[in-house]
Amino acid sequence: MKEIIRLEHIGKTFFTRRQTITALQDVTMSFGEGEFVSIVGPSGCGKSTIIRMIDDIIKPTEGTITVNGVVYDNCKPVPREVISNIGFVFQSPNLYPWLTVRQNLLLPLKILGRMTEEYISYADSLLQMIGLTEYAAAYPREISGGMAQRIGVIRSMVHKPQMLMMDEPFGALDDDTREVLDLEILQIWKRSGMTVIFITHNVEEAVLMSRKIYVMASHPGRVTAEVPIAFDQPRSLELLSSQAFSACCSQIEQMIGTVNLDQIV
Amino acid sequence: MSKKYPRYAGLAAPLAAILVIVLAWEGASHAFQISERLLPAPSAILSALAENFSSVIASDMLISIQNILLGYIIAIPIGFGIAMVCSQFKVVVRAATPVLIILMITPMATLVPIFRLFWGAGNFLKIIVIVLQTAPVVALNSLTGFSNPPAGNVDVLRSMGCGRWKVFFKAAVPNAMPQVFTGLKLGCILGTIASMVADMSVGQGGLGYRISVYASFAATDSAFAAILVAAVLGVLLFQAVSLFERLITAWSR
Amino acid sequence: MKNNIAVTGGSFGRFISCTAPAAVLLAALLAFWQQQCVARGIPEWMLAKPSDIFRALASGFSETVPYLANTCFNILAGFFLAVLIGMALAVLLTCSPLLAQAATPIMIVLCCVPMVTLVPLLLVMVSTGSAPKIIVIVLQSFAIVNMNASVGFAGVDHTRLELMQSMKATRLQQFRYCILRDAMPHIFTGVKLASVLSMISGVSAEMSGGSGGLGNYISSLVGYSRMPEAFACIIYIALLGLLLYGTISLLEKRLTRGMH
Repeated sequence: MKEIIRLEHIGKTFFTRRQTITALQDVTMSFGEGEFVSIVGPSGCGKSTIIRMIDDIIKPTEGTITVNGVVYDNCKPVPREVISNIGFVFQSPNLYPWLTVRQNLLLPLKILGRMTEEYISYADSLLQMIGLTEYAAAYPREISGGMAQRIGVIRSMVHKPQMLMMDEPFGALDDDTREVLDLEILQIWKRSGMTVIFITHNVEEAVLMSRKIYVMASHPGRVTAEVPIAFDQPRSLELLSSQAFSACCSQIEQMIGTVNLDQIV
Repeated sequence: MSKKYPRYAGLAAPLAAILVIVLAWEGASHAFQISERLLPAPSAILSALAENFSSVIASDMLISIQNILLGYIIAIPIGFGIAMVCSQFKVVVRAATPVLIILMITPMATLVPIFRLFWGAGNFLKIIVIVLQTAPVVALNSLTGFSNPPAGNVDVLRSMGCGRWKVFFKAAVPNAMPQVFTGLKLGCILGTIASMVADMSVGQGGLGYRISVYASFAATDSAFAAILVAAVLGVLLFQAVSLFERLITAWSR
Repeated sequence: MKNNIAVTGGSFGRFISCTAPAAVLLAALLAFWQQQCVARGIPEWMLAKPSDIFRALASGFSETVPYLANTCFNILAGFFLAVLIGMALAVLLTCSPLLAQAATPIMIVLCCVPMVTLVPLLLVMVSTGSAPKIIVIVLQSFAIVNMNASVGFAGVDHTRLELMQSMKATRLQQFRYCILRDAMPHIFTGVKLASVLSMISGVSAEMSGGSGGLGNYISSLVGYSRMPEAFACIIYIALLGLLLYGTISLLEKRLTRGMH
């Protein structure tokens, strides 16, 4: 598998007047093309910071990021061609309340200057895929939280990016809705062949979805394990009840747990 | 306040800016030999202020302070009363809002020539104009605040068996404080303007009157001195209301 | 959650249900005024009856037009200039936090200063025409637009801005698609207040000297004891204010759709 994103010895330090906070320390990760990788860890371990760095929203203080062969400059903005190949799904739907559902969906195309027939019809087909075509003219406050988050997800891919960063996209939803949406994401992923980096604190969700899981610990944020997940594709909800699945989950939960215990001692 | 700069920058930056503007004005008026009659230098204005303050401007200032404060103090209960009564019924809120907007946006100084005929030219007329200009904006903002108390707060009080007015004073009034104070602050801006216009068109003393007298004698420096006093009055009144607001709405921050 | 998003009809019905209560209240107030005038036999030179005022509103219109046009021009010119200057300054201030910090208290001070006090001097310094009035309106109104717009620009939602960054929007795009839209409610608060201040300071400036405009005309009408015509002029001014305020409110509804 060809490597598409590489992080080498990434560090991030914040300086405040009283103290220096090391948010990330010596993080090295590698993501193959078309791979679905999850990053799990306790809150505050810097999971979100990592994908924000890949999307050039935050700059690292140390280390290098390489995406598609382009090495990020830590002082200058990364060229638009590289970043526009990355989609970003936020924790909240983050729809603009002053735009209708469809206008929200087309916003990335407007920003990137890609308002062509081809892209617009692709956006409409995505809307149809999640079954919300009849809500195209509605304003965000008129739809439910689950619908809004699905629109947030498809908005991140209307410009046909090669890579997708997802920052705990379904953290605020109830378990049932989340499982349905998880499977929807898996379907989209399989069809599009995108590289997905999926941030979550829900271990079951991570195991269900990914080919590989990075386990992180906090204070300072660092990678403690890289776990390959070897279940067959395609995955379904039946997997959730299998013994192998729960064994895998508890193994990863232990990894997160032990690290935390170590720190208390 | 921005965290990037130390605390004193909050005061130092505007003071420095004002100093720069005043110095530039002073410098320009000397460098370009601008006529004293047209635009006097800040130093000339200050010396005119020192010269005329105790003999002339102070008595006009006292008249203006008296008119503004009296008008403002009378307008507040009137505005509150209107808002309180109107907020009780949805249909009355809808009826009163546009009427209050019309009253707020109509310059009450237009009534001066008419009212002069039956109240005569004097402080009473000026105070009426100030009240008419101030009360609608106080009423309008209070009404907006009073008419949407948070449903949760209302339900709690209702469940404890509170009546209409108890609910109003315990839920609607405290929650409306930010809007009420917006109304009060706008009221003091509009009240000060109204008082100055009333002085100018009624006569009989007051800072506005003094300014037009100075201007008609082409005593531009003295006129600017009186304008400076009027400006300070307006700012002080506004700051007093803001201070009161900070004390009362401390809970919301 | 609303499912009936396709239903857009009934705008006329909504208009009626919004304006009817206010119209009824106004009619009741006018009826009370008329009844008091008739019952107490108040002479016309003291307080005109609404019926006479309405007659004057129609009969005196052609006579009033030049004054009305003058007032309209002054107020609209001053108001638009004030909004333009206030907004431009607010955009400029977002570029420099230090500059913004210096300007904010100065703007508050400018709002509280009764600029109409400058009229007697401006009549001497500039001219007796429209210029002093427009200057006074701009000085009185631009600061409140600036203050509110600055608050709106500074308070832009962090996550909404992050979305812009994730799309790699340029600074101009960030401003156009996110910051400006997010600040709309604040901007409109400022613009509405500016319209009130423009109306009041504009007509007040006319009352305090110079020539032309309804403010002056009212004084001379009262001088000739033409009270119904004087009241009619006040009604024209009130209508002008209502029209300005109403237009801004309509625009606000369009541009902040979905936000509340």
